Formats: sequence, structure tokens, C-alpha cells
Amino acid sequence: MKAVQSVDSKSIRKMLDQNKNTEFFLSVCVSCGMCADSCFLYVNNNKDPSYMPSYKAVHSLGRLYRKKGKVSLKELEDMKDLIWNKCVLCTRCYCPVGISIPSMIAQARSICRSQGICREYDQVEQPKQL
Amino acid sequence: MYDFLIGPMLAFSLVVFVAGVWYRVHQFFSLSKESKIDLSCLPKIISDSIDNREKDEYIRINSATDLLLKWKLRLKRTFLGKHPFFSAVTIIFHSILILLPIVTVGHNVLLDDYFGFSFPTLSESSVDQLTLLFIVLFFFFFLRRIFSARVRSVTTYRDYIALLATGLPFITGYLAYHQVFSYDIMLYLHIICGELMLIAIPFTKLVHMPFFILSRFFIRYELTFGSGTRKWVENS
Ligand code: SF4
Ligand code: SF4
Repeated sequence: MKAVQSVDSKSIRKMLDQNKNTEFFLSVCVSCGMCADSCFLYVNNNKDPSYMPSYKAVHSLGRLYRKKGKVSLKELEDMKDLIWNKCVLCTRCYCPVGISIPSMIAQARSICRSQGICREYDQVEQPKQL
Repeated sequence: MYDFLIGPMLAFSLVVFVAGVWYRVHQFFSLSKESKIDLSCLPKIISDSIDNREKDEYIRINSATDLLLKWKLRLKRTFLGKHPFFSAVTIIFHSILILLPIVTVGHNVLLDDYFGFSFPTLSESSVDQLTLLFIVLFFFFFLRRIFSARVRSVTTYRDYIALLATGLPFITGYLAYHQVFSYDIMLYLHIICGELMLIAIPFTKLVHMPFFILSRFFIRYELTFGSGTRKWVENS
């Protein structure tokens, strides 16, 4: 049986405050979509926008900043797919403005991990229809 | 009204703009730190490959066609080569955005009045045509935000604010020049929008203007212009 978890917003807030450069990155990202093609996962998944580097950062870490850490467990679970299954932190993404997207995704992972949410390696994955 | 707009209001906007950009530059330097690497300490194989990459030694250049091929291959690795159309659009858009206000006659008259110096100017008809081109490109970006799935998926109201803040001074300036509606009202709107754009630069997503220069020149990574000497501080 899974233990009932709750989200500790205060500690998320503290982690967010510790890393000011990711907040700076988010305030600078012009949502231009130029980083899309530099991610091999985006290119190889029928150009699904949810694989775009900035999408993964904005909808994980960006959401945590917007809500000041006050997120539900369900929202963190949803982020899990985005930041673990849709990014391998290969650091090959290219942002012409000079934003480091992997560092934002890595921070979102740290925050999720601090709340007991992390990748499950024993998950059975369904084969993908390409 | 006119005197107020080009007097105290202009001074206020310029002060906010300069102070805001200064604050952002300061923020950049406090979030990054100097970290030099000594290339001579790298294993020889790495420094050799850096050298070879710089020289593109895998192509022997004997003719102009070879030189073209070399640049074609170089460009292919960049956004310019992958998306030439969009690259051209964005480069022209940003160049006009920055240069056009500097070479407009009206702006230089003000500059001369206040500071006693001015920049070279373009003829009114060239400025007019370039403004029209800018407005067309502005609508291209606007429509792209609405219709391109990848851009729409990350767009928020803040992106529209940044886009409008850049577009409105040009649109109102164009309308004022062509005396559409009332010239006076359009001119006032043009000045107000221009001043709001200056104020918006450090505090909206337009902050990518100073950030682009700082990050691409100072932070060391594959995309640095030149040799970046700084890196981001992980935990501040
Ligand atoms: S991360 Fe960079 S390339 Fe990607 S959308 Fe933001 S500004 Fe554009
Ligand atoms: S770090 Fe993630 S987002 Fe960036 S290219 Fe690699 S997989 Fe794509």
C-alpha cells in the first residue's frame, strides 16, 4: 500500500529561493520555440510540443515558481513524466538567448525528489506507436 | 502635454531604463562567477581537437567553392543553417528595432536639443519603408505565437506584453507620420508607447536584450561568442 504523502510547500519554496539563476532564466525566456529542434527527443517524437526544452522547463520549474511552491501531489506527479521521461539531461539543447534549460529541469527534479517523487525504474512501459 | 512627454516623462523613462538595466547587469554578475580554464593544462588530444575544429581541417580549401562549402557546413550546425527563413526574419526584426529609432530625424533633433550631439540619419522615406517592414514582421511574430503549436504551448500573457511593447511605438509612429486619425494624438501615443517600452525592458521579458549580450559573451559554453570566462553559480 502506498503511504499517503503530503507536499511540503515551505521546503519547496526554500529550494526555489536558493537558486536565483533559474528564476532569472524563466523571466528571460521569450517563448520563441527556437530550442525545439535542438532536442533529439522533440525531433523523434513527431515534434510533440511537450518534448520541447522550454515546455519542459516552463511547465515544471516555471509552474513551481508561479505557484510559489504551493502545488498538489498530483501536479508533482504530472511533472514527473515531463522531467524524467521526456528529458535525459543530455545538455544538448540550444537557446539563442543563452538560457541553460537543463539546469532548470535538473532543479525541478531535485524539488520533486525532495517530496518523495522520483523515477520508477520498475515501471513497465508500453511500446510507442510511431 | 507635448512638453511634459518629451521633458520630465522622457527623463523619468530614461532613468528607470538605465537603473533597471544596471540592476539586471548587477544581478547577472552576482549569479555568475569568474572561472578561467588553462587550455595548456588540458590533455593534448582535447586541445588538438579544439584547434582542428577552429581550422576546419577536414576541408582543404583550394577554391572559392571550397570556402563556400566550408561556410555551408559551419552554418549547417547552427540555427542560421537549419532555419534560414526564421533566422533572417528575427535578425532583420531585431536590427530594425534597435537601429531605426537611432537614425530617425525627429529623434535626433531631440537628442541635439538636449545633449548637443546627434547620429547620422536616414531619409524620411527610408525610415517609413523600414517601419512598414518592421510592422509586417511584428505581425508575423504575433501570428506565429497564435498559430505555431510549439510557440503557443509555452506562450503566456507576459509574452504578448513584451511583443506589444515593442510593436506599438512603431505602429503609432507610422500612423502619426501618415497623419491617420489625429496627428497630435498619434504623436502623443507614439511618445508614450516608446517611453513605456524603455521602462518595460528591464522588467518584462524584453530583459533578454541585455541578458542575450551578457550570457552569450560572458558565460563559457559551446555557444559563447568569443571565450566566455564565467559560469553560473548553482546555489546562491
Ligand atoms: S528557452 Fe530559449 S530558445 Fe527556448 S523558448 Fe525560451 S528563449 Fe526561446
Ligand atoms: S537536456 Fe533534455 S531538453 Fe535538452 S536536449 Fe537533452 S533531452 Fe532535450
